[in-house]
Amino acid sequence: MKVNLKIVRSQRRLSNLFRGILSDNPVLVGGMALPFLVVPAVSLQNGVALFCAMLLIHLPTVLVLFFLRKFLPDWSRVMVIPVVASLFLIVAYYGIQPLSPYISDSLGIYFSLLPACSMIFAGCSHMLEERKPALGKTLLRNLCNVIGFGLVACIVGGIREFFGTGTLWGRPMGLSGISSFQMAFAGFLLVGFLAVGARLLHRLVLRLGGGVPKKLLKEAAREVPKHD
Amino acid sequence: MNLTVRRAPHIRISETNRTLMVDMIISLVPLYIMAYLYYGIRALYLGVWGILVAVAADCAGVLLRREKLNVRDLSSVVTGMMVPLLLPASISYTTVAVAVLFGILVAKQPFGGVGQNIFNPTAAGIAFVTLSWPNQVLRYPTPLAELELFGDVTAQLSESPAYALKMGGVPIIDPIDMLLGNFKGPMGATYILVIAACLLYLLVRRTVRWNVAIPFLGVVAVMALLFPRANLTWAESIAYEMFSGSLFFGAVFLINDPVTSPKHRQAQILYGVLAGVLTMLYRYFGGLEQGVVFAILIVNALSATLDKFSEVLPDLITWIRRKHGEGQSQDRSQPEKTL
Repeated sequence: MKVNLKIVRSQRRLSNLFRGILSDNPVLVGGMALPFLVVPAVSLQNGVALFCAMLLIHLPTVLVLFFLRKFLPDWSRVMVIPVVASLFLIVAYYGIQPLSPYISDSLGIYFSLLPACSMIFAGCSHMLEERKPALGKTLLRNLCNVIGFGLVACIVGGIREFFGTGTLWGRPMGLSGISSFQMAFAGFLLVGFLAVGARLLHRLVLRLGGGVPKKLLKEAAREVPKHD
Repeated sequence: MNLTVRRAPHIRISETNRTLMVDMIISLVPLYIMAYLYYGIRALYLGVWGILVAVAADCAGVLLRREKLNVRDLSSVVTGMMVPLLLPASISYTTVAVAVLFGILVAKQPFGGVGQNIFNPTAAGIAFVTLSWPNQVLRYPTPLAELELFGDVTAQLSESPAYALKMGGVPIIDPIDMLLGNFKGPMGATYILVIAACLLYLLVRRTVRWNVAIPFLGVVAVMALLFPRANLTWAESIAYEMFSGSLFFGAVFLINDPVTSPKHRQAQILYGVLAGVLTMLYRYFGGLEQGVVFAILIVNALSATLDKFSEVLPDLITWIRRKHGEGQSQDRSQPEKTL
């Protein structure tokens, strides 16, 4: 049993570093916030804008709800979370303007829909369901989730811009674009392939990161108690 | 009496995946011969290139999934043969390769390979290149035009009669030419007589069932009759809708794919009807004249649901009958109220 615990601890320590980014990525594993990656993430700039907007909406919403949690009955969550998130939409609007003056137009209706994103709702609900949530831990977990979302948004946006229009951040890269990459179905396909890629990478990190020597794994397999 | 114990399956039929694919290959060969006669050796080169890319991609996909290569599996050869036939003879080799790679590596292998794919690989590949390079895919050379074997084609390219129909115009094709495929269109999808003979062969061999193809063509004919797109007689409207594009080819080779079509008879009929309606809706309201592959991809996604629905259907009918019967018997048992 001693060996088993050692393995579990070393694996958990390693995977905790990437939780929300690679392992338990809200988009690639949880399937959350998919419409925002499939439709508006057609360029790297849009991907970065989505990341910034999510950061400026998600974390303040969690913070506000953390302090308001004692006054919120369970039934009111569905209404309160999007309303609080909507307040920070204005902040996000001005926050992403430095990227481009037309960036919010480029994101279209999906920018206004960000407060209703399932990722924000899940993050807040998780915190509200905890008995004694720790502020630092809650913020760190949500920050990891936002980074995970932003990473996927930037990769999807970058790939779609590169192959779709032959540019990257608006600069020509000497390629003629394939128009289908700008369509929604290409976004779905890319997210699917990225999910597979992230899973492979996670396994590779666990294997190469060296948390678990092969000898320990063999011993662990031998010592796992059988449940009747 | 001597009884010998043997392992399942106890009922065996001679039909296998290999025999089905061999039948498909046999029926595709005449189309390549016709393509060779109309467009020269380039048509055959495109076919060989498609097969090579398909087989290589399939092998790569199987190895990536860490499975054993099945040398007897010919499904990738069929995909590789069908893709160039749905494209113009002037298409570049790169486009053929992209279509085949998309079909195999995106629509087939990620779902588990042969027998597991939800979407028809050929339809997926053609849909992808149609959306990506519409100018290249939807512009065709004139039959009997001289086409270069490699590099850019210098022959004049123009739209097919299906495009004229899409724009509300009246395509002018001699009926004999239409039957023989002597008009602009996909490299292997315009030879109506040959494709009809292939359909007959496949029906006799039971490689394809009438349950899908006939309802599909029937719905298309009825819709063409009821809602003609141009100022045409009813016979012309039906003929042009069915034979001026790749619809007839799709009805024989794409929609009958045993993997992506439903397994139950009622579901197959419904599947064919739905595909026909969707194809015509694409033609009426879609932006491209190539509607059949998109319609097939949509009904592919509904295939499993239709199968489930057909399983529930007899129970549903029995339940409705019983309810109806109960209602009637209750009505009879209650005496009529008289004032």
